Amino acid sequence: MTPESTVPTELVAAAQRGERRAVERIVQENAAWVRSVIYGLTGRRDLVDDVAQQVWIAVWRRIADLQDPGRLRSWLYSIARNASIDAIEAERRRPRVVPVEERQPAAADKGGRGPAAVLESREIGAALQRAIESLPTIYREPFVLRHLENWSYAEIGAALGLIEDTVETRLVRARRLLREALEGRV
Amino acid sequence: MNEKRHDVETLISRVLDREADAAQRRALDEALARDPAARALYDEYAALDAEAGKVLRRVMGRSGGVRALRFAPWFVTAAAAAAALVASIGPGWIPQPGSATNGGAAVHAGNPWFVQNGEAPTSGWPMVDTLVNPAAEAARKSSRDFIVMPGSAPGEILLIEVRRARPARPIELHGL
Repeated sequence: MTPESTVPTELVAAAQRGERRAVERIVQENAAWVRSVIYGLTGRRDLVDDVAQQVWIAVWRRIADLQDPGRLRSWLYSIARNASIDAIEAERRRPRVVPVEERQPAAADKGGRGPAAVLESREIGAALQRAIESLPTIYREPFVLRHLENWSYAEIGAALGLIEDTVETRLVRARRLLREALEGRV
Repeated sequence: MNEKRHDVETLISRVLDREADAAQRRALDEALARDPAARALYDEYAALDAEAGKVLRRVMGRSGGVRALRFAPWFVTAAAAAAALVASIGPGWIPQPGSATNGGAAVHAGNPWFVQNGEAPTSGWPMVDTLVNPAAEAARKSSRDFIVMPGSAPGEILLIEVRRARPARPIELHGL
């Protein structure tokens, strides 16, 4: 299955004619991976909602410009990419306020693990999240799409405009960088 | 040695990504059987992959890969009633001759982007807006709709406001 086959061409054509339900369906069927792309590009969870909004507003306004309805996914990706880059640039210009994290005290979880194990697991998760968000974008993006969307190398390559070998190389490199960052904690 | 390790890493990555063919899986099995370092590396990457999936799903508000929104029964009833009301007013998504703001909109105290389950936007509904909002008249020249999409947490709904210019009514000429 190619990435482009998930949304029928007729649906795109209907959206271009201004049929609202068609646009809504396109949003519903693509919202999750678009969010993954945004997170993969920005490495900032706090930007995902705002950028996703910008993406769908842009889609709504520009859907008529999509020349080849069969290329919807690539088109969406380019909009998400541009919106993500704009958001990062805007964030760079803005002084950032880092909220104080509210840490919950560790308690035994439902699986019967003790507080120490829960705390350790939580810390590993937090360290891994930081490591993923610190990855260079070219590695983080395919890594997020692979692990959140379960996309194949071919699907990732089609969306990102990369050959499969490059996708594979970047995933190998992403894993290596994460492993080095965590230094055997996982 | 480094090249050999790189090859093993590539094989491991391919297997974990379910991209390996039978020959590659067999090659990895053999490497893991004869090389404890390769085995340790595989275990480490497999654990990292599993943990990364969990972390990413948590960060993006997906629990266990389930993406469906969860609604309480009372919310479904209320939503159905609201939909019936909208349908009785006229066709459209949620048309609102409201304020002239542009871009995304949804109203929720503390987080302006989201509407929690069961909550309705606190302003801008047609009747009220028409009566009290001085910008309503100007806004009538454009239509305002919402696209509904899943939010970041289960049960959360993201509303995207979209505005379109309404086509001007053709002028009717009489007596010509």
